[in-house]
Amino acid sequence: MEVRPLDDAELADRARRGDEEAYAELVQRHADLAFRTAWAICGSAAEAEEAAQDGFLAAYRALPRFRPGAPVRPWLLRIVANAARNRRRSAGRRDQAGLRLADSLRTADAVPSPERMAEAAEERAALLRAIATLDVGGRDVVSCRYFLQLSVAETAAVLGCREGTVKSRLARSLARLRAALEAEGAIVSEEGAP
Amino acid sequence: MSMTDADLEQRLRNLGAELEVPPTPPLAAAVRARMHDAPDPRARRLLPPPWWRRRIAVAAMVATIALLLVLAIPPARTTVAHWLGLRGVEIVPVQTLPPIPSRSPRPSPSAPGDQLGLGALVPLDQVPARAGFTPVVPAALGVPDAVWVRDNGGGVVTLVYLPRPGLPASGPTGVGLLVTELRAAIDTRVMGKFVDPSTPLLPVTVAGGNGFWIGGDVHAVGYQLPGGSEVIDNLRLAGPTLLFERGELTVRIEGLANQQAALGMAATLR
Repeated sequence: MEVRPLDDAELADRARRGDEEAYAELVQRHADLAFRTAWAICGSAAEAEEAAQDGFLAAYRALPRFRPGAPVRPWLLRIVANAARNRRRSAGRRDQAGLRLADSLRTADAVPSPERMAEAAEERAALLRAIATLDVGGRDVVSCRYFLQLSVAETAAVLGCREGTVKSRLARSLARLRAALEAEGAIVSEEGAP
Repeated sequence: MSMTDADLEQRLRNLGAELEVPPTPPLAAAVRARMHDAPDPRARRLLPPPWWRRRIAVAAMVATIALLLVLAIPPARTTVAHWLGLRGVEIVPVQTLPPIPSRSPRPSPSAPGDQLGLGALVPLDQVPARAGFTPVVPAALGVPDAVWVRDNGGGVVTLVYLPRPGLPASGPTGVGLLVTELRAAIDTRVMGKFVDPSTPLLPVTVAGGNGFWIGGDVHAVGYQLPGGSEVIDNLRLAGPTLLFERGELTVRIEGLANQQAALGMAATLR
């Protein structure tokens, strides 16, 4: 017998009627993305954990007022993002959102030469430095779109702004990143790329 | 060397994959454990405005812009009240009528109009003392079968006439005719009327006073409580209505099926 897993809307509906198990399942399902969202905004794992917990609890208490049938994921992410921004604000930090490159960069299937790897690492480090020059709004929108891979609509929902604002902020941020990279002379051709 | 946006976007996505993201902590268990804690007062600030409030906010914004547009044109300024209604009465266009609370019929009606929530039954000669003004009466019909006065931050007087030859019972009210009169400042709302797109709303003039003919089968009408409250009290369905200003009074005549008959009745008010 095939058992179909409940979709988000069904879980939210059960949770609204007092099913705590259903809400825990909803949290489990979106924990990774919520935590990464909070982390991209706060920049610290400890604060991101607190923010994600606060956000999920606030959403749980707001369930009775949640419009039935509305998409659940963007709503949850938005509340978590609000919690994360509150923490960022109260910490008074406007600096780099703590994005760091992993120590061990993933290696491609075909192991590239050590020179190529070093080059790629430098390229990414330069991109990270360029991102650090963006304003907070630009960094949030770049984080949502490219690091969390949210759609434009979801990014708008998470950041609580209009899709048009997301698009214009993205365009501005990309132009700014390109200018920063060019100033560093860090734009190199992707030699050997297919 | 130039780089396209697509290149840059791909590099950003690649970078995302290379970021040192801390492992996700066990959130579900932690949230589960805190579900029964007292709500954190800060939590409210985290929430997006509820969907119904957003919808109201948008509607309010549209209404405000419409009003500002009207106010921005000085000659139109004096007609603002007539745009939105008349003194003491606001006409609200809606897509669908608000839900009408059901009313259980009283076992023994005390007087005509008893079911309509019109206030207290008052003998005609005592109305001026209770309402603060002397109501006008349609000469063609004479003394009303019942007179009600409702205190709504000012007296609202309703004359009730039972059905009679030439004046059939009106569907929504069950009586022949209702004449409601109130005295209100230009910026106060005593009554609210809701009209949906199926309801004709025609500006008319009654003896030089501005007015509206609200046609169609039904619209909704209720009292707006004093103090700027948005609460509509005693909302009910109403049949075709003539609404107009007469001197310092705002008068509504409900129960005549066509505009000409209503205008004729209005002309006999003394």
